[in-house]
Amino acid sequence: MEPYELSFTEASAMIAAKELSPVELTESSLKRIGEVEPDIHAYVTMTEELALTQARRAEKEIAAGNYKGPLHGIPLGVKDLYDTEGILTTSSSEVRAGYVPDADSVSVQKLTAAGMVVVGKTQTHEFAFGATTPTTRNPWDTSTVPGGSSGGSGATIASGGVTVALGSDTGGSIRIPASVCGTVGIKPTYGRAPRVGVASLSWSLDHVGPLTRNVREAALVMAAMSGYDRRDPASVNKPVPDWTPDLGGSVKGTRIGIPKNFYNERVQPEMWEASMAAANVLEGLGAELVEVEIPLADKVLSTAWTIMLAEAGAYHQEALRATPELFTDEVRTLLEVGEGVLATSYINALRTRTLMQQGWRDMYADIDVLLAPTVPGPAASADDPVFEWAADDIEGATTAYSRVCAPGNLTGLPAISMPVGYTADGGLPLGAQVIGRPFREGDVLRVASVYENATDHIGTLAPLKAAS
Amino acid sequence: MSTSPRVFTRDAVRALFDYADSKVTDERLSAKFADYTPLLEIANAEPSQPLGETAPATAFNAEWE
Repeated sequence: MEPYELSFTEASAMIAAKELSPVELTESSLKRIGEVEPDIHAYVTMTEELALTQARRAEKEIAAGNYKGPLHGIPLGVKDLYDTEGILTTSSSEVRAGYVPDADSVSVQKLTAAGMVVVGKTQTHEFAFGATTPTTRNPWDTSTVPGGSSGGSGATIASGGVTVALGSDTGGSIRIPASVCGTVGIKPTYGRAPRVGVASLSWSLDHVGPLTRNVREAALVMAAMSGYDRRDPASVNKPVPDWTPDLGGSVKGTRIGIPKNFYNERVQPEMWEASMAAANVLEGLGAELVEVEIPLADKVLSTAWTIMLAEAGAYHQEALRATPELFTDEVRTLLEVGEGVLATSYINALRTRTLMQQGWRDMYADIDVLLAPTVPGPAASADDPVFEWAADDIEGATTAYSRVCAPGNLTGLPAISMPVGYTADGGLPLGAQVIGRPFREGDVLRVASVYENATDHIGTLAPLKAAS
Repeated sequence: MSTSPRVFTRDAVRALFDYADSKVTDERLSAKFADYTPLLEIANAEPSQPLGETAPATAFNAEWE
């Protein structure tokens, strides 16, 4: 077994016991990335020199008895939306082709302070405004998309490059690639983790968090990224718990909401069935399944898109007017539409969001978490990324994927996506999301970890051979 | 409250972009009109129910307490 194939928990334990050097692990990670990169294009920029410097430092620190904890010496992929000091940070856009930040984003600061080793910057759908990441391919089938916007992060984890990579989630951009690449991905409660130094798509919907191979490192990395920071106006000053003691615990008595509407509409039957099979596994372990109705379901798409288009239009207004030709045509079109959202429409979307949040709060009176498909289907074709529901009903993959994830962003509730099966045709991963109450990330992590222990769906690498 | 979706004609989109001081040219508007209109209609849809005294979720906070 090569070091890159070790799970996070195995690698971390071996590093702590000085049985595995961070340098050895990093070299293996870089080698694996190099082997598969010609086929998947997960990275915008590799940072081999920095990674080896950080790994050697970690090795020395650990040898000297200064072990920092389970993240020490573990390779990390960083979505190219996150500022990295002295390293090109393009947001996968020509608009920022030459942007080299002079400071790390807070997330990167925190994770490198914990000893993580940055191996490179992962591809994003341009400025995170889309869910297919056209630059990148899915390691499970390189004719398909890796999802997005954090597609590079999903692809590098699924192909064994790293066990942890950063994502951001405005309409599902952590959970979507996690679902279609067969990884774990967690979006915290809005305000839990500061977004300082991360390019925004839509301020009131943006969340930062990790994609990971297994659940344990999701808990550890999410906690390390969290905490109050006054530079982010959304940041909430709440203590960050250690979520690891509950991992692998029990779901006995946990009330899991099963949606009667919305999440089972315009969703492929295989996707829904895989999610319900996961719910049945949890029920068999003592959870109680409770049918619930998703409130204001017919307003999810319009509310999310109105807010996102208007806020993204404002964020990119200067660049759109100065250098519109540098945006991809797809994103340029969306930003141009953003300038045409009426102020009253935007405010009414925010008011509808208030009603939605109240409705979800009422729904949670009867449940602890909600379980539903993460997305309507598996990885879409890279050549023609659509879902065909009927001959006259074809939905673009970005709209389809984000439609099912958007409630988590509109409500700000914590949500984790976990692999729960594979398609019968092609063996592509299928993911389900567990959505919890505000600031109860521990609940979604616990449920996912119990499912992880009971099945063999989580932690599997794509059967991708090295490029010839 | 209107229940019919707002329909954007080419002239309406032109007027909207002009008012926003957008740099979208006539040529680009012609080329992208079919892409713009569904999104503009979604983003400027009338609320499906009266919003009454509901305040906007500005300075959004996910906390329930």
